[in-house]
Amino acid sequence: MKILKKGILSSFQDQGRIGYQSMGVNIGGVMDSLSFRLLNFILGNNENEAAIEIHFPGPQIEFEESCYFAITGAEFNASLNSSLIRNNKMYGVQPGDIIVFRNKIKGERLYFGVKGGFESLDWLNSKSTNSQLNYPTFSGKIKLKSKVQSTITQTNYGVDFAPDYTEKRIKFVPSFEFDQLTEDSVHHLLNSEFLISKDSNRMGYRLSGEPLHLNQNKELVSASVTKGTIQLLPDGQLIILMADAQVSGGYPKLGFVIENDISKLSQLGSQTKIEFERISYENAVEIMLQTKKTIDLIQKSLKLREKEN
Amino acid sequence: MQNIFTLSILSEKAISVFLNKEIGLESHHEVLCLKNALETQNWPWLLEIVPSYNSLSIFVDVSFYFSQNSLVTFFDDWLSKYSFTENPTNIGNELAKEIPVKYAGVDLSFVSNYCQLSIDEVINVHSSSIYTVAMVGFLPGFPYLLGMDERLFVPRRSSPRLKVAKGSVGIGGFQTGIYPSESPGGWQIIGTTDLELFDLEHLSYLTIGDKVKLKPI
Repeated sequence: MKILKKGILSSFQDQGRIGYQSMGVNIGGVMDSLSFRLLNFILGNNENEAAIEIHFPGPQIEFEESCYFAITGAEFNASLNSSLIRNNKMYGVQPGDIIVFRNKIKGERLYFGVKGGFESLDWLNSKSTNSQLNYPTFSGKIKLKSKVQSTITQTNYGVDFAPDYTEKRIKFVPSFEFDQLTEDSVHHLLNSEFLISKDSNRMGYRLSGEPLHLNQNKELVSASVTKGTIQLLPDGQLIILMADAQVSGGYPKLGFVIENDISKLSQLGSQTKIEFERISYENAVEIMLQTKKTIDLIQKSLKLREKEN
Repeated sequence: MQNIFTLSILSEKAISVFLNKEIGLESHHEVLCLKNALETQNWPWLLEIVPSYNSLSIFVDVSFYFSQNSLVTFFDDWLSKYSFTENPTNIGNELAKEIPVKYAGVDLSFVSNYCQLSIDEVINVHSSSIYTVAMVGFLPGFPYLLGMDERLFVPRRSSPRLKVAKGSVGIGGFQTGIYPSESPGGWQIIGTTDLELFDLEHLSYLTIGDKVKLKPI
């Protein structure tokens, strides 16, 4: 596979690198893990097979071998040679076929994967690019792990499942210094809108809205933070830490955005307004397990279909 | 009586345990003992334990919920049965690792003014302590050093620099540390080292519990 144009911020991602946070190496990994998992199910891959996370403007890719590929997540008006291709469906390609992403229709991050996976560099049990080290880097020539002799263009392996990327209510669980917010601040947090500012990236989403305050300013020492952590900055604004969250931080924390809604949030771009909905930890766990069930069912039905074909 | 620990839920799959104790070598040592004790449990769902000054975070995978309902309940129970001051294990190297530092940072004179110490005194005081690596975080290989003389406590810069050079030695409040790579940062920079603090193969040169001596060059 040849990358004719790199696009912006294209990178290899999987579920991240766990086990090295004590060395300062963050977990990283995909922003929208729901779309990522779906991609690998459609392709019949291992659940954690690395994909290319694509932002708009996206790359231009030429296939050099026959293979099957699929795209999930954002919709960037993708076309193969000159025919339009859909999300959540597996396609076969021949050497010389070219895929391009013409314009941004919906969402922010698209996942592109091939059946069998890419042969990309593994570092500390993950192929995700560590943004602090810019390693492993995303390069111009990518080999595929498995060889396919010939392919059929259309396949039946697809799925009608798309997370709702227009949902602007983001569920969070209060924790840490939440109890120390002033009464007014709690009211603002739960009842007003927050704008995703342009200084938002894979590391964190900076929000702008009514400034929030704690009853007393506390000098905190650095402690663990992770994907989903909501931090309160000294100027009263919020940051939601995203996939490339650093391992530790010293700002007060108000709680965390639930896993499911991190995927949703990943597909919302800057200048979008969001609202916070407070839920309990127990409820968050329930939602996580329910999502796992749904996803497991999709995987099962796809496996079944693959067997039948 | 104040509880010995406080639990805060960090995510669906992580929980933080804070020791309600003053930050210092003693509480840090207890954090490391607790980490060891947790690790010897061999829980199949345990992914990683990340210690910091007076707290640690426990990361689990979803299979935790196949047998348990709540991280809070589970760890509240477990920690209530754990005796916090026992298990005195030695963690890290007792032998101090020496790091050569050229004390000529951009904020050296600010620190000297703020602390009302001469530049030579700042260098002297900063390089005479034996530090303990409390945690590695912020950047791959960034050591947070515990044990700085309180005469050198200087607040962070009110607005962080966009670029702090690789190898910079800085002071942020009661903490001192070294930037292993170029990064934005708000600490007061008093020196630099040429020592590589992180590489892809060996990872962090300094690990939690290590003793560190800074040697002026």
